Amino acid sequence: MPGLIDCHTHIALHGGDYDAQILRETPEFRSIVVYVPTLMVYELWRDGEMFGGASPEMKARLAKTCEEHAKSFKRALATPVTIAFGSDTFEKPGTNTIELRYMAMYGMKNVDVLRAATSSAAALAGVDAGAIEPGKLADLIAVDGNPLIDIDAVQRVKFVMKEGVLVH
Amino acid sequence: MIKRAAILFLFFLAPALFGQQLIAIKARWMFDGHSDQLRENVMVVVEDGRIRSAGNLVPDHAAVIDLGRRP
Repeated sequence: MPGLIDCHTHIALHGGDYDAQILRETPEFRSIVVYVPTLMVYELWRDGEMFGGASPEMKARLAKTCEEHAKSFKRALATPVTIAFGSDTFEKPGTNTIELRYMAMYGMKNVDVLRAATSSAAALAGVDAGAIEPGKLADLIAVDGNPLIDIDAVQRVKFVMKEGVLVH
Repeated sequence: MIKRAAILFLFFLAPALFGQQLIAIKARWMFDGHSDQLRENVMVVVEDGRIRSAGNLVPDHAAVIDLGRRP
């Protein structure tokens, strides 16, 4: 982990063995690292929905990985580290919102999940969007329901605007 | 009558479809990317592809999209 600081890497991707202690005791680390857990990629792989499926042995290993990953994510939630959305599921376009369900299921407050998927992810990616405030790119969606109550509402997209142009 | 309704629909949506400069989007609830709470009954104004404001006012000549009326 100190190597990440030395080489100025800013993303802790996956984070299956995330160490909460280093965050609590290393303010410099907290200030430069954004944690992108990508929970769904392992869950889908375990369930045979990614990378062409998995052998029984591999499924057993992945089940253990998912368990450890969830614990790691929960440890991260107990620290002030910034968490941003990312899925790593390049094989399954259009399914990214499943990641939000896992983030909520493993203990992240729905409002924090939304922040991870909007302002935090945009800031990490260097995109001038992710917030509804003057000057930001008009990249907007509307969903059916209240995602603060039901995070799966984000899967019911009814409206999409990209840089001010209606695309759905 | 149906044809006329369709034309009106297109008339009102065309500016948004083709990237008109000024669009007002009426939303029942809005998450702004930062706050802990949703804002209620907000008009998001978009100009030239960027957010101009999020409040209650509809600028003159803006194309209005009422999200509450979308299926």
